[in-house]
Amino acid sequence: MKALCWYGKHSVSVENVPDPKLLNPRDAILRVTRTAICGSDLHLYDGYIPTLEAGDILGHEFMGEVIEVGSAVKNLRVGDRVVVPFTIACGNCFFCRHQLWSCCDNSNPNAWVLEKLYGYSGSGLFGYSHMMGGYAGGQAQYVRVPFADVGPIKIESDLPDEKVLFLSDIFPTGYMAAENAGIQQGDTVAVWGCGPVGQFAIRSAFLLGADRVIAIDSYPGRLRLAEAAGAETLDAGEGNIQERLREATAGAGPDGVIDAVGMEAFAHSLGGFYDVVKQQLKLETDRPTALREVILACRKGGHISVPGVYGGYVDKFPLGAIFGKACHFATGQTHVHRYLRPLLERIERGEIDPSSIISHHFPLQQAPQAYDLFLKKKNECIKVVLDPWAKAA
Amino acid sequence: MNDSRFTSLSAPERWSWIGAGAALLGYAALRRGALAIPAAAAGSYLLLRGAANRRPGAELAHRPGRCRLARSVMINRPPDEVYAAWRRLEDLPRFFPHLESVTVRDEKHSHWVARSRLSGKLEWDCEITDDQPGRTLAWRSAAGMGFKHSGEIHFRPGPPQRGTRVELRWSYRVPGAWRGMLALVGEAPGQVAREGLRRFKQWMEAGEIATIAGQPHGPRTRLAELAPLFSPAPPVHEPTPLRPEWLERTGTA
Repeated sequence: MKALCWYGKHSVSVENVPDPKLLNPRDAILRVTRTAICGSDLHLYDGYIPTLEAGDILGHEFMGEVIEVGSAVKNLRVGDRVVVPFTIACGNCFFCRHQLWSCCDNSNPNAWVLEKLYGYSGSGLFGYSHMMGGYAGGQAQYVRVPFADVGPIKIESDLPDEKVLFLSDIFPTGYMAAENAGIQQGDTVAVWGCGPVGQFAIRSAFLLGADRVIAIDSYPGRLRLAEAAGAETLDAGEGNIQERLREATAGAGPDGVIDAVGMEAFAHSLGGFYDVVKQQLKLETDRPTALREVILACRKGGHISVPGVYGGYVDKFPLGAIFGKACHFATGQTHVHRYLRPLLERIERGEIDPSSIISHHFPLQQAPQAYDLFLKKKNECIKVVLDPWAKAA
Repeated sequence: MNDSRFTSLSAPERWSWIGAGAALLGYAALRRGALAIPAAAAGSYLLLRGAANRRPGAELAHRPGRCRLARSVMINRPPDEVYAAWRRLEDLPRFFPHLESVTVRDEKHSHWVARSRLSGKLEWDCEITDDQPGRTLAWRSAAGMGFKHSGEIHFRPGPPQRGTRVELRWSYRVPGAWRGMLALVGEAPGQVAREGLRRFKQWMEAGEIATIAGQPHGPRTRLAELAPLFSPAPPVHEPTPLRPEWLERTGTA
């Protein structure tokens, strides 16, 4: 089959590799019908996530048709159409039983590596480095899905792939970010970053009853898309965000703040330059430029929500501001399984159309160009969907 | 005390080690090339041992010291079930990939075969010294064979709704100089115990052991091929069948 493989910083290529096989009794094999490039794939592409090996297959947002199931998978049949959560979870450990699916104890075969970094390891992920399990990803024509009896959600309606594909990651991720913002009636929520996760956080904040959403970014196309969803917008390149947010909220600050930027933040400021330099010198692994701003902007007693991605250590973290303002702080890899059913129902009821954020379609063959386009945000690129079976143009 | 680790050297011997070390270091500094790095390493070692007033290599000759370790894990199944799964000793190679086989001879006796990256094939007989179903199992390896150790494993009810607290204890002898090398190839007993318990937990809770061995990938570079050699968690190559009781007892599928 054809699969997109990682070969180093800014180096990916489509290779012919063997088809995946069932390895465990709870596995299933999918023929991938659609897959997407996630903003977090750019952290791999930029070389910020360690323990990738040359030749690893990337991709953790995908859906497809079941073509083979293991002996213990009783709920899926060949021919079923499914979307797969990017977090791999066993369904039976303490964490899965408590709906903390991304903390599953039993799905990361390389948990010992992550234990050295984090103390304890979260679940395995598709196509996201060996410390996250080393599972081959879904930017491929076929993929092996472990624990297929608890992860994948069947799509029984005739909704097109593009409307349900993002249940695999970014829609639940944006939704959980909005949930973590503790939205109450009358709340104003500010969202930093209007990429795919930010777009879903904005839409989810409205679904959860936010009165106003203020979206912050510096790409005009992304701000327009946020505006289309009903958000007020602030261009980060045009002056002091803190002051403008203070004015927009009559001096109180937003009730909920969401950092949908993550570890590769940019800022047109001395602080932003400081983080770029420290990261290049390996004095910090992540650039918390946006995170600091998010924390400072939060109102007293407000909710700070961090969908990430953050990978390692940050510097000058304003813990005093969180303490001094008695803020709530919530974060974490998305517990995707929790949200599949309720969010699919919202899509079916027409409350949201996830396909509205797609800016580009490519055949898998052209995935390397698509990565480059997405990285450089050329042609107002926001979200790329790949078709593993289309012929290259 | 006749322990070579603690015996001081005579002055001439001490100075000859220091001199030899310095000579090797000098060689490495002046004559770069393929031999420079090993020569520098050996030179530094001799020099440091001489300076410390200890004979080089004494740690290899030393009788192995007694080591103890304890590792525990919480398993979300009841103690009787966890004990029963561990008691099927012939299944243990699933969790401890360094084990090739365990052959049960009778209620108390079994034969164990392991393969170590450092010492090759090891074989030993084991005798069960205490067996309390649902609570404890203790064993001892026969004198003069393979991995000389004794061990015990305890199964205690955890807090409400948390399953079983499993604690594995080993007492064993490994020569001091080997300990560091074992850690380098992922065979330090503490790592082996931790990874074994982790897999055992997966088997009990998930019914199978998470693996990526045998999945596809693009062409590897030479460096990526070497990586698994140093993993403390060598991949399980044999696909594991589902734990037989899993479907009926967990009732998830």
